[in-house]
Amino acid sequence: MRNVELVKLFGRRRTWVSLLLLNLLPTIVAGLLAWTGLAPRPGSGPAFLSAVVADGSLFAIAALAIVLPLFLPIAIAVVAGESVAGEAQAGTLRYLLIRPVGRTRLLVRKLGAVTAFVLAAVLSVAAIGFLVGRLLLGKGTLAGGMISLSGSVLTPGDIAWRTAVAIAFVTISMLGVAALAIFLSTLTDSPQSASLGAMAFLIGSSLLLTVDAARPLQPYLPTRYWLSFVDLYRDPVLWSNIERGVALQAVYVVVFLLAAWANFTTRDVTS
Amino acid sequence: MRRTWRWVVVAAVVAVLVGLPSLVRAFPVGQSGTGSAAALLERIRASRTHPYSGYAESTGSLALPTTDQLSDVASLLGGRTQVRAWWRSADDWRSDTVTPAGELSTRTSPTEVQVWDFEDSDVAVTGPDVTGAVRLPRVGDTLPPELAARLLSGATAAQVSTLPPRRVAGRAADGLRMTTGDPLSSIARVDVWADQASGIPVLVEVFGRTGDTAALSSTFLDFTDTEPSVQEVAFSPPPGARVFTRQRFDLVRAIGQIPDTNLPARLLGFDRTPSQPGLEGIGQYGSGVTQIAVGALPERAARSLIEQIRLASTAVKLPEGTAISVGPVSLLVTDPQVTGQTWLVAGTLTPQGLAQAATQLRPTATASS
Repeated sequence: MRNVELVKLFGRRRTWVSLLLLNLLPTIVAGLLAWTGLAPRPGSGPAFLSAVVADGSLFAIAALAIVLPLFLPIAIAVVAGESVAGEAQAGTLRYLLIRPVGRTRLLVRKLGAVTAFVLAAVLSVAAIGFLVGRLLLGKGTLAGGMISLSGSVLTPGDIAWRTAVAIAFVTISMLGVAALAIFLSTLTDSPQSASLGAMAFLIGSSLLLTVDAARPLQPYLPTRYWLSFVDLYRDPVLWSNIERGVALQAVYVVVFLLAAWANFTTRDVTS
Repeated sequence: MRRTWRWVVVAAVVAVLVGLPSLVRAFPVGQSGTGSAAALLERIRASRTHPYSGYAESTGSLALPTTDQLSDVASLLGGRTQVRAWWRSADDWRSDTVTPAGELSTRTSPTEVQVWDFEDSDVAVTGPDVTGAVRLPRVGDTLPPELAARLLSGATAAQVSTLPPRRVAGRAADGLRMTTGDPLSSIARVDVWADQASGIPVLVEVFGRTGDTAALSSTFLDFTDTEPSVQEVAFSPPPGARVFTRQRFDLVRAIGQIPDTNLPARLLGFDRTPSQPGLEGIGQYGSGVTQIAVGALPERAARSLIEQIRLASTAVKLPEGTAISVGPVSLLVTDPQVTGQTWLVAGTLTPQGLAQAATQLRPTATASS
């Protein structure tokens, strides 16, 4: 059944189109940087974009920073929002539930498929970013190393493990979005409503992060630690925000998935 | 019933997750056995040489006027700043100001201070810090141990009382309150919580005479009292970085280089502390929380500062000049037609205190002009 959900998800043309679009923006940015050679100043613009002109390998990280604030959550909200509501809108949810499969199990399978999409999206952005960066922007002069935010030189080994952790962290951050969209997907028969609801929640969270009066709330907002993967490229690594980000996302994932389970296993399915 | 129990499970899990942080905070913290407030004050002072490292956040609500020279100070005292610190000794430490996509790393050694700026990819090198020198506030000054050392420097046993212990950065900390008795001081009280294990201040809150919200607070989010390694503090400029030498003082040096204009030996009853070589034009008075700095302003800096002060809603026109009070810090730029020269009077004084200080400067300034 897991394969069925995965095959269904990755068999859809729009899944691949969303992955393609997700990778298009960083590729355009890399092309423009290669063409003009004009990079933003260090510290301004998306993280690490200033460094990629000197070393194209770093574009894997820069690409994640480009898509993380908006494009990646949109793609995930669309896919996760469709997981249950899409079946309801197409009129196939009733038939799915006629099969000798419990609702909890069905929900878990849906969650597994969405998690696979999140992983595929994050990995594809990092991998294509790396390839595009190397092809268009070239290899750096620091023998594969890079200058950390703290001014020390990171070796290729340092960069490799930090980038692997960054990918894992971004994936976990996006699982919070996926859990929220799945929960909303169990509330409505309209996948668009579920996706837009998730996006509205995230935009609200991002907005509150800019308001000083909302400081007491800020440590609990879902988008608070999204960009903290940058802390992996300080020397030594600043783990505090990474740890808090993981713990916060774990709370959101647990709460929204439990709510999705409570709602989906008790709702009247009519479509 | 079947519908309900699942939602009860969800509600219970949410309640546990939401209530857990409050529960941990409410967990009682035992007294360390330090005893009296005076003993705690001594313990905090004795911890001055104790190494530490951590991640701190300072929050200021002081809307300082912004000039070209004061923009860093304005953002430091008027916003939220996150700093990582590795402190081995007073002349061997590192502080990194952390921004979302950058870093400003200051490495202090016995021979020099290097400031690595990721955003500009350069390293500014200045001479070593001079003890007691007049200078603008820096990020390192807002770290709880540095801030507490400065504010408690003039505290006496009669001014302090104990506060209930609390948990800061996951560690038990003893509380100390210093109340200023000086009617001219704009700081009402300073609350300090010191780590029970080491005595190092881990949370400092500064309150002005108005409002219940701290005008400046600084707290560790992560803290350890173990000595940082040499590697963590050491620094070599990275390949390709621009390395340049920078003058230590900008506005302060500009004021200080004006020859000593016979500043009074006492101001508002406070003795003048000896000036550093090259900064004879700046008079520094008071100690602890009540401090006053006086200097003659160069014409260009005075014009820029007055323009910015006038833009602030809290600016006050006094007979002696234009003043602004932001939280416990007040600043007065005198009118040269009244005082014979443009003076900058700044410190933790009430507006009445500023006016009195300006009055005492007037005869000297007029005489020297």
